[in-house]
Amino acid sequence: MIGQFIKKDLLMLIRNRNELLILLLMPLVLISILGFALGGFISGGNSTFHAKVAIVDYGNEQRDMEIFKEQLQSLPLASEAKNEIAEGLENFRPIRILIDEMFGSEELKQIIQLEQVSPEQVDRIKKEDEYSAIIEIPEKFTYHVFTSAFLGEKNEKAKLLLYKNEGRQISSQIVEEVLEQFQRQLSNVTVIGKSGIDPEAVVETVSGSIETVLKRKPINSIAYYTVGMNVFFIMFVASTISSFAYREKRLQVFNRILLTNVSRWFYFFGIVFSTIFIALLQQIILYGISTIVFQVRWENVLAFLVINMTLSFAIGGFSALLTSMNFRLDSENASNVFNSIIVTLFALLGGSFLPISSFSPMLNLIGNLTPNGAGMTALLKLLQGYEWGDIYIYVVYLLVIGFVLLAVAVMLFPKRRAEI
Amino acid sequence: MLLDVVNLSKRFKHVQAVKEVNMHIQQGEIIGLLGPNGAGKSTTISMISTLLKPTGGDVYFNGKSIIKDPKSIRRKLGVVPQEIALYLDLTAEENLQFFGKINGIKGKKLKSRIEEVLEWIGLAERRKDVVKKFSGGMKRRLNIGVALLHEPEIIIMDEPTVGIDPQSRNYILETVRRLNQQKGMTVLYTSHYMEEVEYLCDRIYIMDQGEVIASGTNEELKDILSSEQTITIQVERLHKSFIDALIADSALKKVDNRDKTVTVIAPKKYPFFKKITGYAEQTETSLVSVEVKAPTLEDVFLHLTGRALRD
Ligand SMILES: Nc1ncnc2c1ncn2[C@@H]1O[C@H](COP(=O)(O)OP(=O)(O)O)[C@@H](O)[C@H]1O
Ligand SMILES: [Mg+2]
Repeated sequence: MIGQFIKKDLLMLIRNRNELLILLLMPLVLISILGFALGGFISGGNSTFHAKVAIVDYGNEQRDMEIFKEQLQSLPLASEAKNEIAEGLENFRPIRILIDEMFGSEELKQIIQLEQVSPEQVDRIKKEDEYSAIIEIPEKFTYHVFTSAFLGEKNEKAKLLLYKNEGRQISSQIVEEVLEQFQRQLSNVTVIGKSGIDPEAVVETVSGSIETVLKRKPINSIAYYTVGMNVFFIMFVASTISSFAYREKRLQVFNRILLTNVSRWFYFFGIVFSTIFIALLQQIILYGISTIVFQVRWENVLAFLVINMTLSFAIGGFSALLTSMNFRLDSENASNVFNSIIVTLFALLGGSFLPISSFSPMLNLIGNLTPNGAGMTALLKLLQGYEWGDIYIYVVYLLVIGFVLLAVAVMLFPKRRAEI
Repeated sequence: MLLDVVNLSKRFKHVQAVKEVNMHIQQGEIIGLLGPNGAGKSTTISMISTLLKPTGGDVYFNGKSIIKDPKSIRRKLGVVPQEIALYLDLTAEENLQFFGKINGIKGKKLKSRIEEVLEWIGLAERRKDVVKKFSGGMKRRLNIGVALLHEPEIIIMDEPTVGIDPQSRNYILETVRRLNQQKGMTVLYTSHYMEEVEYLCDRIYIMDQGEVIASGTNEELKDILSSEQTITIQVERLHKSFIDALIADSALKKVDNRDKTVTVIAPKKYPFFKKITGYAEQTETSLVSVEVKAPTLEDVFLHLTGRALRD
């Protein structure tokens, strides 16, 4: 009999051009507009991964260099060789290279935000969770690098120190790899005259390992907005179906249904099932079209379906809550407020328009607390090739949201106190 | 008795909507429930149809309390709500299918029921049209049709003709009458149109402000007015002084005026012609006509409450 409830909701949707436009056409149009307008790649890392790293310099590059130059003069070397080294020195500033060219490279900048901090701040930062790692440049680091590079004195002191935040394994691991590569390259710069290191090569090797660490594939903007718009417009299913339900009450159709001995709870869960079914159907249609038209492919179809089912379940929870509120307040206001304000707010926070979660860890957290945001993160991760172990937590969260909303809705739904 | 309503009462937070209503309906009767807007008709009907819990009294269907066992009684009731309780985006047939199926009617049976109902309400030709496109009268007909699907023993109609043209209204009245005559269906018909109730019903209950203020057959009700006559006066222009003069006459019971028509209730022996022409002269009112009307239920209501049935 649930089938009858789903069928009539579907028929009503099909006959309502406005609803169809909102639920199916609008998302596709917006995917095309936003996806093509903003073009290129939105690094998947942006929306799903972001790390802050502090760097603190206890030394003084300029002074180290001067000391080294003085030392160089007093060395028993041919003046030709001395000149060559001095020339090499001009282009070889290891700390600048590390900060500007490695962490400043496009690839790394997108996932790691390097912040230079003063030695006084270090203790405080170590206590906070905000940073994934702290890089310490020890005193006379540059000097030791020079002596080891140009004079061939292998020197253990030419080493950067790294404090890793254990709670942020992935990002601190990347930083560690960057430093390792950097260090390896530094130690390779030994032959006089071939001074300088190749930061691009470092970044390249590292970005390879970033990918392996993150198992990440880049996400293009079409894929990003396909997911973004679909998790945005799925929410309108909740307001639409709950509006339908309220109209049933206002026009006494609800009474008529009760008179057939269908219980009010059967009716209530009919709304929930109908919402879940229609939301899932909407998503399958939208993703189906985007696969054909925009080439957004899902390799792990099972995980894709599971995420969308749980997202639809959470939307079913919203539909139930809105229905209960509408019935209780005897107006359509709850649905209207939801679809005019809350949906847009959630979409914004969840990252449907812009990857705002990359702006700050706080926004990232808030974004992932919205059901659409959680669904979006899960789907983007899936698209990037993450494994189930990195994704299931969002699925669990969506289930929890769904159950909590349902529980509240059941409590709010008018009981048969006044009725027989 | 098919249906006994005993001391039925309903109190909402601030309103006593229904007060100690008693009604008795026999198998095969058409019973009218007449009263102005806000009289408590819908509230009474909601309680009888098991949708609203009474705060006092009970309703017995074939001797069984509907409060104790609403489920088995619902199968025997056909309720036509005051609203068009239909899915406007669905076709007539889809509406009937939906309500039929949730009523537990299936397959061939459902098909033949839908055919029969569509014939009864005269919408067989329009079955594939969405309800939204229907006229007001057609919507009302389908609203009745849905209540007939499960072959109820009694059909309870709440103002089934509100807001439609006279032709559609006649069609509905005829349908109700045919249902009663050909199918032996018992009908409880609620309306604030006295002509409908007068035309259709074997017996009538008149409700006002939550109470049944009179009941009986059409004739019995009009006998309430037997010692009185209703006089309708038409004037060219209505002066307040003329009305005042009528009100001042202690022999006249009720005075009601609308536009250029004044209605008064006077004792049978009252020399109305002489008196009224006298008042007209005194107040310089030119009379168009003075006539004694056969009493209507409207007059009965006026007599009982001092107010017109229609607002
Ligand atoms: N759910 C309700 N809550 C409070 N008052 C109500 C409710 N339903 C009806 N009433 C009041 O009860 C009275 C009778 O209403 P109703 O039964 O709808 O009258 P009718 O159908 O004769 O027009 C009215 O004063 C109305 O305002
Ligand atoms: Mg009413």
